[in-house]
Amino acid sequence: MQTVVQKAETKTKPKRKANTKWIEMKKMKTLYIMLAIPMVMLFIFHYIPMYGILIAFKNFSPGLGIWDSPWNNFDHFKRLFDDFLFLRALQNTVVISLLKLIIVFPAPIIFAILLNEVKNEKFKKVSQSISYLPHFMSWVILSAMVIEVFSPQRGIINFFITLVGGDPINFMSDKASFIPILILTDMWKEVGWGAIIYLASIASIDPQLYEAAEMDGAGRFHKMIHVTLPSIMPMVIILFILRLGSVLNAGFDQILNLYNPLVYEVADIIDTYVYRSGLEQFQFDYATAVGLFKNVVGIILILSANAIIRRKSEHGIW
Amino acid sequence: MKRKLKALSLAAVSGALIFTSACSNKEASKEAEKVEVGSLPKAGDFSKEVELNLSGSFTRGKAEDGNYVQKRLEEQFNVKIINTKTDTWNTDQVNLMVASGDLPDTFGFTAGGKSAQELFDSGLTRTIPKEMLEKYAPRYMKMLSENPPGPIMNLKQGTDNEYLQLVGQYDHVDGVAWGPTFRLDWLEKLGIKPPGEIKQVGPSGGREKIYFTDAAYTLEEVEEILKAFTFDDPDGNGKDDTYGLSPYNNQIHWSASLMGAFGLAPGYNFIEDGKLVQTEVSQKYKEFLKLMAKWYKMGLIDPEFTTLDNNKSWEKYKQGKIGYYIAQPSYIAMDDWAKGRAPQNIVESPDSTAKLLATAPEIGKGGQQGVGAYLPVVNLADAFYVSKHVTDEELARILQIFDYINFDNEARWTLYGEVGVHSDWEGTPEKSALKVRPEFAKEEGNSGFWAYNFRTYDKERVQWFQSEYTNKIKSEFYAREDVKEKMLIRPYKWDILNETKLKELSKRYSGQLTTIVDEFRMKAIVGEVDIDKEWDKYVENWMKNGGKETLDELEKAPKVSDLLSNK
Repeated sequence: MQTVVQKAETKTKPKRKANTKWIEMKKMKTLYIMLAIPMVMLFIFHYIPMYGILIAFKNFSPGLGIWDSPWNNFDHFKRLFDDFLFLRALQNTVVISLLKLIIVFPAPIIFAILLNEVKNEKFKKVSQSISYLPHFMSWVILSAMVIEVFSPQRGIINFFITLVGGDPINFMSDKASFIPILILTDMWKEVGWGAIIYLASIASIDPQLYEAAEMDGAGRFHKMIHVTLPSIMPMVIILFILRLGSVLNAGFDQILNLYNPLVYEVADIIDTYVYRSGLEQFQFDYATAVGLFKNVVGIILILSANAIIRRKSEHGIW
Repeated sequence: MKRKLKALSLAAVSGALIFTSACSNKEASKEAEKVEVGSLPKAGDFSKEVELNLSGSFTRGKAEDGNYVQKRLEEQFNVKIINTKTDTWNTDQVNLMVASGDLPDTFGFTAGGKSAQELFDSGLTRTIPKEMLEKYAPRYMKMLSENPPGPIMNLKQGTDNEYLQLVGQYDHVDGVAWGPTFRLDWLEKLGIKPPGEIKQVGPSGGREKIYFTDAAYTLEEVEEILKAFTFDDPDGNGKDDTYGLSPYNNQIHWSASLMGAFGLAPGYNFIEDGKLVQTEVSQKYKEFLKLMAKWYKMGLIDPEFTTLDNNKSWEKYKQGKIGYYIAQPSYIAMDDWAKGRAPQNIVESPDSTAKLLATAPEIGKGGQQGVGAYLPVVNLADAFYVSKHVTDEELARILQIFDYINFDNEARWTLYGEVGVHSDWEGTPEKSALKVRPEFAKEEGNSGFWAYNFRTYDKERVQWFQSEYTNKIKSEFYAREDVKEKMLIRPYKWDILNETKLKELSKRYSGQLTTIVDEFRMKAIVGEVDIDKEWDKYVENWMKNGGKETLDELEKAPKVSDLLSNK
């Protein structure tokens, strides 16, 4: 008899649990409805279109549609890796992206920390606003400004070079100077905007931590190093991992508007090369194959970086 | 629960995939249907109303419903026209429209799109039977027969009576498309005589400052002029800030007549030492590059050109520091559409004291002189397609509308309305351009002008939009028969009949080949590479990356001379 009761209890337990969950969900139905809308949108606009990835493996014909277009035996991928210019573009992409990661990525962190130390609120706000401005301008406009600044005939830099008796340098057509210009202008454009998230993170640090550090005799520099930096570290790590995922995006808009054939050797990246050789000629299937390749590399990098960081610390995305 | 969730998600994703694939169009077919032309209505029989979704070469999706041209066409041909709302000048919109397969009944894209064969193979377009064209579009067929090899162009492979597309007549590009210009005020200041007799382009509006001559300088003379432009302070400001020549980095037009002096035209091919070669890997091209490198080293070429595209180059020219620039006849005649472009932008301001001289193309060492023909074989270009969904009956009506609005010059009202009501002559009636009155939309909008037309112009139509000054200089020099005969450089072979796989190869390799050519050209000119030392490596690289395949395929194409003589 006892065993029968026990069995009955075990049978009804999960049901009861499910019921409780259902009741809880019912209670919060407004929240669930709010959640459902973006979920449906996510499914419709981000998951259903993934079906289109198939064209990376096909010779896409619009009249036949995605499914009926013929498979092409990985032809687009073979074409990618047979093409020495694609391989050069891949190398350039990785080099530019890594340089941006090393030099540009820490810039907003440093800027945010330094800005946080400014005591004059008015100056702080003005500096912050000025630093955002370039972010809102497109590379089409900014590139014209950059080209003018570095112009061998009208540029301010060459003006000073000639003033001290030097010969003007055509910076934008020089392989040695083009990449530093890319990095610097990218930093200039994005440093202010990138700092917002870190400033928000700094604002949420418990003031008691600073007070405790002060009591322990820490000065401003030590508070910066030992309180501010560790407190924003989880945010830094998350953004770093996410940035790694787009390591094969080295800045299409920027480069397309600034480069010229003399610097292709160092500046032609995957996106600019595919733009010239694929998209301009209606090769959606080829462009999809390139996009898929980039995304696969991105996801591998995100997963590996996350795994490594998880092993060494408690931070990470998952 | 987890399992159920997983199963549910999988089912949802699979459902979505099946739904999407079911929506894909499975109607693509390479078979052209046989048409019983006899069973179709007679030409001019418009008793049955037909609904047509029309788009022309100029459609930007801005034609208002019920516009002037639409109403008249609907009445004349008993059709109900549905206006296309897509901007056919926008590559993204066009590509999206093609990729989705949702196309108007007729279309001719300005940007993007695919080739005629690809559109047909993709099941997006239908063929147009010759018999129907003869019955419903006789003016079009007459135009084709007058422009050999027109009647055998754009045929579906393996047929002699099924066209994949219709083609336009391009009389506006007839003649020498580019020629050199020099700052005449600089030449005068430096005491350099113009070659031959010079004439003013026009009496006012800046044209009085532009002169032209049918004589030319030799390449050696040009070099001396460029030297004087660069080093002899032609603008008299006491500074060493002028240059002879300013190329641009995104196109090669800047060298059209300079290359012509070597017998070359970009992208064309010819026989050199008994072999078929493409311009960009020929010995003559090497010599051209060496001359440009020499001029760059001498300081005659503006070093900033590497960062200037053609638009920025026009702006730079306007600053008045460059002495030589390439120009089309319409630029020299200051046609409206060419406003802001160099070199005419230097005289646009009424206060400008600059003067220009347009000459015939420079003469090379062997007496060679000319520029590449705008179109390689014959002045037929562009593409007008008919959607796969169009029935024979609808096609019959479409062809009659097409033939009337594009090839009957009484249909001028479809482009400019009625003269005196909607538009006026700019100068001498019937000899100058037509200008639409400001209360009517110049294109599409409330007027519907150009909304349904195709880009095709015979000589009379060219006059409607080209100024009388362009007409004048073209008839006096650029499009003179003897000038065309002597100075138009055409390729040796060209696959105008789509008999080879060249289009396929171009799609695959053009990105690589263009990159190789552009990179080497720039490096060679600025002296970053030693042309003699690096030439073989460059040619080998070009050959390895699709160039050889392209040349081998090109061998199968017909000779242009045979095509022109209708052999």
